[in-house]
Amino acid sequence: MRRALFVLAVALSLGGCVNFADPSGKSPEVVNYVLNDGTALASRTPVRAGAPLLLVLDTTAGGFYDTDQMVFARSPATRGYYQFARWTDRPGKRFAELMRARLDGQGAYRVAAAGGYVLGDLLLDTELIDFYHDASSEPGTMRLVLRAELIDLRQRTLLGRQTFEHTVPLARFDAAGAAAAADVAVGQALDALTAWLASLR
Amino acid sequence: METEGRYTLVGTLVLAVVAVMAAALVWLAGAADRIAYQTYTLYFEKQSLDGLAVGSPVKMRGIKVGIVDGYRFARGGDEAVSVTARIDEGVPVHTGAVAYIKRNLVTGIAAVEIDNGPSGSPLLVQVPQGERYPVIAEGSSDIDRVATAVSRLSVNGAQVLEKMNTLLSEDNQRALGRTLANLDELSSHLAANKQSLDTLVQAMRDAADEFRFAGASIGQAATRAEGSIVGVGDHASVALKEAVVAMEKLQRDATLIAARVQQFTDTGSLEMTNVSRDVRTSADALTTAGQRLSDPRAILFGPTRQQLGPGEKLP
Repeated sequence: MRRALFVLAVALSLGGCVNFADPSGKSPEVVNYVLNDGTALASRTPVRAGAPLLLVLDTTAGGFYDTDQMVFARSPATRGYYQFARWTDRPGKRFAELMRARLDGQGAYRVAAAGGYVLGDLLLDTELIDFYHDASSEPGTMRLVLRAELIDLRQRTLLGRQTFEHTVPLARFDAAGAAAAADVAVGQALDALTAWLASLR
Repeated sequence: METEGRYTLVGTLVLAVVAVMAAALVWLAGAADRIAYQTYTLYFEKQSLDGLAVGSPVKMRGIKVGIVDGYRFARGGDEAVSVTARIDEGVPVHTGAVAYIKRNLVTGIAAVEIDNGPSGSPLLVQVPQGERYPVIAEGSSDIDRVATAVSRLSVNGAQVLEKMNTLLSEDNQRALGRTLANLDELSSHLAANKQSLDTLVQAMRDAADEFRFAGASIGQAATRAEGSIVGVGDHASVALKEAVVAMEKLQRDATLIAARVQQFTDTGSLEMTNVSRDVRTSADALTTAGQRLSDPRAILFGPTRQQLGPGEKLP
């Protein structure tokens, strides 16, 4: 009896080391893509004197999108994850970094991450509502929907609220094409966002 | 013959039993009469007799020395209660003894506690006029004294609170606010009119000079008066300058404090926003991870063909 239990324990321990998913050892490798600003600024503008201090909160995203996995949709009502393609960072967090870099390079604001001991003049709050590869047709499109709110911290008032929607066609029907189109969509969203902020000044 | 003899025996026994019972009753009654005790009357006017009953113990220094024999409302008003207590004959009750009600805080059962008088004083045997037994005066217990002290303390505390409330009343707050506003306005005016005040002082000094020149013929007395006026002007100038400096500093400090309080509030609000976001994000990530783990087959054997994304293929 004791010997049988010992054999069973050894078998279970060794079983944990077995990869059932890849018996042949030829499974595709996971590719990690970096999300970039597709229309990055050619040159940086120095921050002008007396520019308001803009606090930029991290971009939030829904539970399904707040992951490093790339999302696709074969129909409007369904979503799925690419199995062998991932982002190097969660899209919401990465988008906030690209947004701060873009605003910082324009020189219209003194940009800082919200929190800590910085007392700001304005607060920018953004939410990534949709960010997926629409694969209902080949090669499909990359869809990005962003909602932004600008708040005056001095007066505690909402200065503006805007939703941006961008759809960029893919060049190829795979994760690499989706990642390239996502860069372009992010660039377009940041263009629209900065223009909207300028209209509120 | 035998039957009659039995009747005689039974009747004899019955008579004997009756005689024994009668003798026992007589003996017991006589013995009760011979129990030695002394009776006292106690009047309770200030204390409640709640929990006291006939037969309740009468104690002296915690030892039971007697019982309560009865009680009734005393005639003559004041709602005093007359309690009759029987105390063992061997217990000396001195003149000056006082009695009070001692009550168990848990059960509520009461007893009469006698605080005996000075041991050198004579025994309490004198019966006052109109009374049947010697009278033990009513005393006060420690709990009563504590309650009195607490009551006095609460009254004093209430008075203090009332005075504080009066001090912090809306009228006083408004008055204080008006005073601060007036002070702020005064400092602002002083700061704004600093130049005018300097000009005024200078004008006073010039006037004093002219007065000195014009009054040279008046003599030495006029010269001394002129010197005094100049001195007053100088002192007033110095005092006004110091006041202006103090007011400006007060205004700067108040502005600085207000700005810091505002900064602290804003920073705390943003920190709370970030913390709540992090918590929410963590909850979402946990939810997503749970959803993934809900499909153990995909974890063990990898994705199916239906789960593959665009352009993805299995080997």
